[in-house]
Amino acid sequence: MFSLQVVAQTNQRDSLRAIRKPTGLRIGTDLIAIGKTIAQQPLQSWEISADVDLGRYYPILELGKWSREAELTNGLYNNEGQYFRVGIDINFLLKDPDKNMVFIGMRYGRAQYSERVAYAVTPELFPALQLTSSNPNAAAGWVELTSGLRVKVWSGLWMGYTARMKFLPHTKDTPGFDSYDIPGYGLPFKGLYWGFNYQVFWRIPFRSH
Amino acid sequence: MLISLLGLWGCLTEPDCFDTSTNRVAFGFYNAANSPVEVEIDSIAISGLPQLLIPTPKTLRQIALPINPAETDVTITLYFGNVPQTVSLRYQLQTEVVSQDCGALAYIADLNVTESTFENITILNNRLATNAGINVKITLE
Repeated sequence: MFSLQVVAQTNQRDSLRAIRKPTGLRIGTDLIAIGKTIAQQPLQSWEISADVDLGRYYPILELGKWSREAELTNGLYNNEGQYFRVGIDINFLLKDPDKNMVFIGMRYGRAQYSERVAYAVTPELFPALQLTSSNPNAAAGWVELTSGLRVKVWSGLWMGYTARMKFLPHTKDTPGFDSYDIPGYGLPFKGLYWGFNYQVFWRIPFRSH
Repeated sequence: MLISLLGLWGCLTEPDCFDTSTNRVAFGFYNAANSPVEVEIDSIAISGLPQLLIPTPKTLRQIALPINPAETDVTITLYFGNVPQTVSLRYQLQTEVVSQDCGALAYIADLNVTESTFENITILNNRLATNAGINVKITLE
């Protein structure tokens, strides 16, 4: 009797953790990015995401556009580009009937962008110089560990947040200078960079036959 | 705990605002035994500079001479009394964007000798920086 109960509980747990047929597509956007863009902040960006449920596993694709202008003490830096992240979130709320989520996940991000810096230098004994340097076709990649929440608010409307720990930035095609700011990542010289999205989603259920 | 440590690491990896960029090439003079040796230089002509430079003191073991970051070549003539010795260098400018507070820096790099009347001249460090030591080693027989 006791052993049968244990087997039944194990089967139920395995069933909750199994990969299942998807029941809907959830599309979202980052409200913080939109807010900064509307407020005319130096960082202008938008981002959309889409995920589907495969049981407790949520494959996710995020696309974004980003441009930053940074005033330097001796010049001006700006960049513009687009990025995507692909990865998976794992839900730890296995029994929630609404499929609310507390999750951890992982992403791999890639960015394609251009960047330019114009600055002044004053060499000894020679006239002051105005210099420019650029990376017109730069590319970068990085890895993220994510954590966050997704909560059903009403009907298909969901809200949530994603906290991101970004690391292992790597760039290529940067002949002008080492990249200062990577779209979708941030400042690569920090080695480890944190990100935060406050998101709103709409979930489109798939028809079941 | 781990997340706090990782966060601290994120804070500690801010770039330092050490500006070591310079447009001075450091020349060092050595004898055949590879020891620094004193030379007496009366004046110096650098292409792009209209005036001659007079070193003080005239007797020295090393000297740092300015070159023009706007160009990629320079010819420097050292006058040992009435005897001129010339060295021509080629170089490139490299940009580093450090931070908003530190700004962008221009480093002169890829320094190489294209021509020289010195018989024995070598590049020890091909990037100019205030902490780079000697860039060009001149060995006198």
